[in-house]
Amino acid sequence: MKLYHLTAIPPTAVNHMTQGSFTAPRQQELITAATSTLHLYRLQPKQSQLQPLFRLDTFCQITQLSTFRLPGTRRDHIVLLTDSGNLTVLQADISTRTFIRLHCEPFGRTGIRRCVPSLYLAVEPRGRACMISAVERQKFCYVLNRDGENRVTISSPLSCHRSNVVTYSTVAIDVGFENPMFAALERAYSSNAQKMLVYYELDLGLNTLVRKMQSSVRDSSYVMLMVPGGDDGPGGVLLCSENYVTYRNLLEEDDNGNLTKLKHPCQLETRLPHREFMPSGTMIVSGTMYHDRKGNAFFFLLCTEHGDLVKADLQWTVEGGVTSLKLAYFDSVPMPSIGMCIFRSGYLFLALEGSDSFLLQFRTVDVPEDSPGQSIARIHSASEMDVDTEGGKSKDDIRRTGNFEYKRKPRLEFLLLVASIESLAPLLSHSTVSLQSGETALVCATGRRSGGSVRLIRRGIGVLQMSEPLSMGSRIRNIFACKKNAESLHDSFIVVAFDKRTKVLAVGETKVEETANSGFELHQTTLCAAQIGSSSFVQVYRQGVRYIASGKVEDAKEWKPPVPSRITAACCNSAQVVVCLSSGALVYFEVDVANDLLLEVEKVAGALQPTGEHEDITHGIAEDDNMPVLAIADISRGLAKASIFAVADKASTKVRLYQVQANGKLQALGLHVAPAVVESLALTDFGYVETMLGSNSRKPEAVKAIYDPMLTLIIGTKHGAMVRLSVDSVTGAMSGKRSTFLGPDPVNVRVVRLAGVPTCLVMGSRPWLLFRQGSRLIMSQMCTSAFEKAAAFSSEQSPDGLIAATDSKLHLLCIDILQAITSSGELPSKIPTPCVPVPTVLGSMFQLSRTRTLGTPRKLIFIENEPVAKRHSDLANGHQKREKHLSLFGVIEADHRAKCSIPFSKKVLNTDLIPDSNTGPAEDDVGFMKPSVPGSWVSQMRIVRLFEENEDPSLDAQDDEDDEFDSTNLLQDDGIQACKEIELVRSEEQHETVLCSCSSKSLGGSGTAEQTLCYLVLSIAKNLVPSGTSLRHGKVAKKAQEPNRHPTGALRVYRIERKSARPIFVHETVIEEPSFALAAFRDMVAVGIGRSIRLYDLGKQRLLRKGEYKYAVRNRVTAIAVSGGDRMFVGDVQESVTLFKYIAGWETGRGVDYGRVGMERHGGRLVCIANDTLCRWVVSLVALDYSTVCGSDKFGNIFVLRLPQELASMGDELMGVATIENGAGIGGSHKGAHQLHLEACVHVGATVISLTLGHLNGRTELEMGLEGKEKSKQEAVVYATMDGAVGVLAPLATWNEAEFARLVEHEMRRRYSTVCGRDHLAYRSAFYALKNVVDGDLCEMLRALPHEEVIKCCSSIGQSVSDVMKRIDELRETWIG
Amino acid sequence: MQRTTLRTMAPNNQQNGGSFSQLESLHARYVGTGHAGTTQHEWATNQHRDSIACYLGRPSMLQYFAVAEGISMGRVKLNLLEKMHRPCGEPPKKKSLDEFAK
Repeated sequence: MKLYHLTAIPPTAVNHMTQGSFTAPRQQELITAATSTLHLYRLQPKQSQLQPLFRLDTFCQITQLSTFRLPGTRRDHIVLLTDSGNLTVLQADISTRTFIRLHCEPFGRTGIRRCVPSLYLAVEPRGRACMISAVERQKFCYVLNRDGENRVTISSPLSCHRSNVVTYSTVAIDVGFENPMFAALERAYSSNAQKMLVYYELDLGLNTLVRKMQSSVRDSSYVMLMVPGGDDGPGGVLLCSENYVTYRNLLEEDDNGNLTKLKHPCQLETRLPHREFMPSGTMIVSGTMYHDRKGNAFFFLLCTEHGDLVKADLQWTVEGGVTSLKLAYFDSVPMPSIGMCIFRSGYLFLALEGSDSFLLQFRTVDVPEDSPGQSIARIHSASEMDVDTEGGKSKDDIRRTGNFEYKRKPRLEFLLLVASIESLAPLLSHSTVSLQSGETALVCATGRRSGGSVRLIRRGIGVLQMSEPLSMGSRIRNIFACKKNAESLHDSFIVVAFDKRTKVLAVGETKVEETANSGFELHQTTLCAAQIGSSSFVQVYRQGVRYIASGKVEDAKEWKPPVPSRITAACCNSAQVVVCLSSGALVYFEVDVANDLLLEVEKVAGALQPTGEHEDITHGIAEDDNMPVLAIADISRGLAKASIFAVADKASTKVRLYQVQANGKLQALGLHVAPAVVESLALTDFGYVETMLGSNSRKPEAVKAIYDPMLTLIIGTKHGAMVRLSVDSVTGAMSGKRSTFLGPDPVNVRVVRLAGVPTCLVMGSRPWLLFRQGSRLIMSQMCTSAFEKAAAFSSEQSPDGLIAATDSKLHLLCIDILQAITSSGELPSKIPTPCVPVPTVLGSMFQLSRTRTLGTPRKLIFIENEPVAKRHSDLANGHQKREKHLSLFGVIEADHRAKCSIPFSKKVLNTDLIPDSNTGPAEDDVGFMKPSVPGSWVSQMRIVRLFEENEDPSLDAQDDEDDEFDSTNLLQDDGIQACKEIELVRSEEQHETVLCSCSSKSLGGSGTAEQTLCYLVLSIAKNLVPSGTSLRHGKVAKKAQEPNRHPTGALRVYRIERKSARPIFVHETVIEEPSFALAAFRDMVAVGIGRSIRLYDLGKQRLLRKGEYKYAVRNRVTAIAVSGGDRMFVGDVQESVTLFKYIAGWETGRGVDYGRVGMERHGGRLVCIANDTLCRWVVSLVALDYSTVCGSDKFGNIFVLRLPQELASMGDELMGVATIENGAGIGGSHKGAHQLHLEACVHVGATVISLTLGHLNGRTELEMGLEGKEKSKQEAVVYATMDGAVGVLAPLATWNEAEFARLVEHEMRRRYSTVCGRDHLAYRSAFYALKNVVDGDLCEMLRALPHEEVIKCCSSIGQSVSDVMKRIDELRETWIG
Repeated sequence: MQRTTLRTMAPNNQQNGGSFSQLESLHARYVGTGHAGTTQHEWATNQHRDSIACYLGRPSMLQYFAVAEGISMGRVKLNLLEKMHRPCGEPPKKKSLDEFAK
């Protein structure tokens, strides 16, 4: 087995972040790091946007990220710590859109280890040095400098190790330009050691790092923030511990930690404002400092572990040092933040755990004195310090005023939400579903607590409908949009061609109206219409070419074709027109700008076969079949005209290129024979980008530019194929043919310029957009219904919209993905603009819809998926009877340490995570679920229904009346809606939680009359307290475990009625331990209870135990995957996978006593066949075939295990051996007689929680063609990780394919050096040796290599560059699209 | 998770004084390497500390624990760091020779 690994959605979590000016001076930019990916964003303060610029896969685990700026320079550099054991200094480069490695200094072993200093990074604020440290012992310091040529230099490391010491956090100290200092929070291993704040000094003169001084701090101290020093501030650190924030500055303290600069030395410590009804002991988990150097002011923003933002202010004087520390409750966000950045333009970027990241704008930073949640420690100049906190001296006063406690704000007060960046982390469960149209989509359970949601994601580009469809009365043949003149920004006319007439719509400020006096011929169908020259229009129709000079109706001139021929086809660009006559002649026109005339320049007779001239009169549409098609390229910068156009003769399927020579003569160039009758043609240069300068002025002469020409001919055929060829603009040679089958309908292609970027609309059975990304062309579906004709249409509301026609209706559309680039106003023109659409966070995926959940959605259980015929009362009215596709999912939501006071399911959720403060009273849904003590759960199971788009609006209206469904839930016509929840936990039953669930259609006997029934079995845990990472907590939990608090489990059975999707409680069965794994097995349910597997059958009063295999695994069953109906792969929490077989029928006469360990149901039993040889901490399993299973473990590995082939043919003998082994003893019973063979293994970087089978390419079986039909049956493993990434492990079916992929990967490993110097093979083998998996992500980096390297690489593979690229692209297109 | 074991360097060849001092320096350098006198508690403590260090550098593991426990990732990280100190509790008291005699 050979697998090909591809990432579909790169990690969307934000684990580390930093801000600075990376690509250009004065830009406000942000770098975020997920597991292995770096993202660079640029803040556009005017548009309130965070524009993604580019990203890079580093192929290593990023552990820390920071920046530095060398004194006297204006750009920041990036420092990266990774598991490669190297300290990497990077520079962002906008021209190549990547990060460039400047230094890669090794400091230790690879991997994330205890004594390898890759966990903490502190960079000196003046950019002179940085300190790295490990969790234990090691600390290194590097001196950063620059050489004579302004290059960054880095010194060899200086060490200051100390054994048996744990480091909690490090931070740099601002000491101006004195010797750099760093602070670390440390604690020795000795039993009575206290937590210490330690200062390290880097002596630049002596070139040593010394441990300078130390002082004890509170035991719970954790987060440290640098306080500006030197001339800008008092220096030192702000130390956050549980409930307290302290200002510390060891340089100005005595031995007791009292500030010596004060008249009466004392500690400056303030108690954290207290949120009401909260358990005590609130921790600050992250914080940031904002320092305005010009205004010489600074403040701190801290985030508590419950998601409350607290602002900290220090007041200081140069002589007296710090005089007061004030904490004020600022605002509340849904989840605690991982990190934050404050930009100087007044924006705050906030990365939240288990939720989207937000860009917020400060309305004000001044918290009013009287607002609740404040505490101050102030030193009065005269007397001693006055601490205004609860724990302080004037505690009674504060309690009376009530200022110290605060209520959580239901919505933002001092901040304003301006943008959000999607994050799927943690992606706890997912499932593939097939939509009505046959494509597959992904349903994901993402986020935590308030950030939890269920999302529907599919391949493609989002399209927004801008207005109601405009009905034109009769079938539209073609549409064109014209600007007023060459300089105008927006289109002013829409020309709509019908079969025998034309309508011209004038675009007004508010509406679109039909106009009669535009100068266009209205009684003919239009073949081509456009704005041409500087301000003229051209219209081509059957009997002539009309040129409306300067848009004046009276100046309209007409060119008539020689009688009896007519014009059969035409094309034009902004200066040239080519028409084709029915005699077979080509006529070429050019605009004479000086005289404002359209001149006939050249005529080539007999270029094409003559078409019947009379046909168009008798049968209007039939003659369409024989019409030739034409396409001309746009005019490039600096040229007066385009040199190439293409002509296709429909009858003969030939496409010929013509060159327009300098004197206007036409010369025939290359010829391409299309696979079928040509329906449409397009010719464009994808490298030709018009950049916008400024926000709203498009100056064509200044900003047009070609970067890396990519002239491409696109042919759409009548039978649904699209062929694209790259064209040499000089010789007309065509090469690099790629053909794609798009379904049975004829394919229309049309070049549209969106935001100045050329893209090609491909309209087949469904619309596609062909665009350039980097050096490749990408084709992506548009998530909208099919349309036949379309044109780019720019208006003030949607500057980069589309106008599309279906039958007789006009739609105004807008492409979602392009919004990022349309506002990228300030890119200087000399920098090559991104050839967009810009990759969004979700990669090539598009989020169709999102439904918020109340708690953490932990598991998604597919219940059923079948079309349900809708009943319609008034069929007579002509409404079509349509089937509506329903998929039912169960979503388990469970949260530990939570409580809620009102019934859970009654709550109606806001659609927005952060409620908009401008709209009415927002409910306090965030404060709704409150933190609570360990052992308290809030949990429920929700049934979610997947809706499909319904094209007939009248049907929606009927749905509303349909009482079968909650009508309020049908407001959204597309996507997911919750329709019914099973409420499980009420306020009095806080000790219950849902762990897992399974659905079964055949539970309790198959083939009965109850075909419409589906059972849902839920595993409930009672009194479950997760063991916990905290030591203290563990002790408490043990104490609390009285006999009656022992965790037990229960299985609840619900019956789902298919029509209403309502769950009906059937019965509950108590089991002795909570079950973490359930699976429908034959007509029973297999339950993993502790170490054993039990089979239950449906009874009248409870589930009936049909047998048990005790001690099936060594520790605890975590996953069960059923294959083939009689085999069961059982995953253990530590000891990998064991394969069991169910043997129906009781065998006698063997002389083996099965009684103790075997099990029976109707005379059947389970036997253990095989197990694995290694330890694997199994999280999820999915059966690939009868004897193969794919699983994932806690540490981010995916593995495939298979029962050896030679055993597959063995029948009873195999079982016989196995059962004898089993009989040997209970203790050894989990040992199978055989070993599962490891087929493939790969490390993907983050914990893989969920695995399914399917593919993500978004194509229907029909579109994949005949060959695709077999391919579509082949499924890939789709995995989802904790950090919100989705990837695919696809089978490489043939030896040829596998060998090719292996060769490319081999070459790439040799030639591509990862940015952090991590050996790719070592990274993919971080825990277990990589086996039989080719990393497609690495293969795709081929494009990032320099061209010479690519040629070398391909020649050693033995194929041409284009072939290699094509095959790599095909692999991605097959599985991801 | 990942253990470093210098099995070949167990201090059983004490007659060779030269290699012994070398061995000691190696022991000091590689934290957690075992020797003949390693107690169960020391061994387990080292195991746990190694595991914790591995979790700390992997945000996805922190997230995994945070989801299970229903607490924030920052708190999980702090908990793990605090656990570095005594992951297996206080070491058992060494029995003196007198106690053995009893």
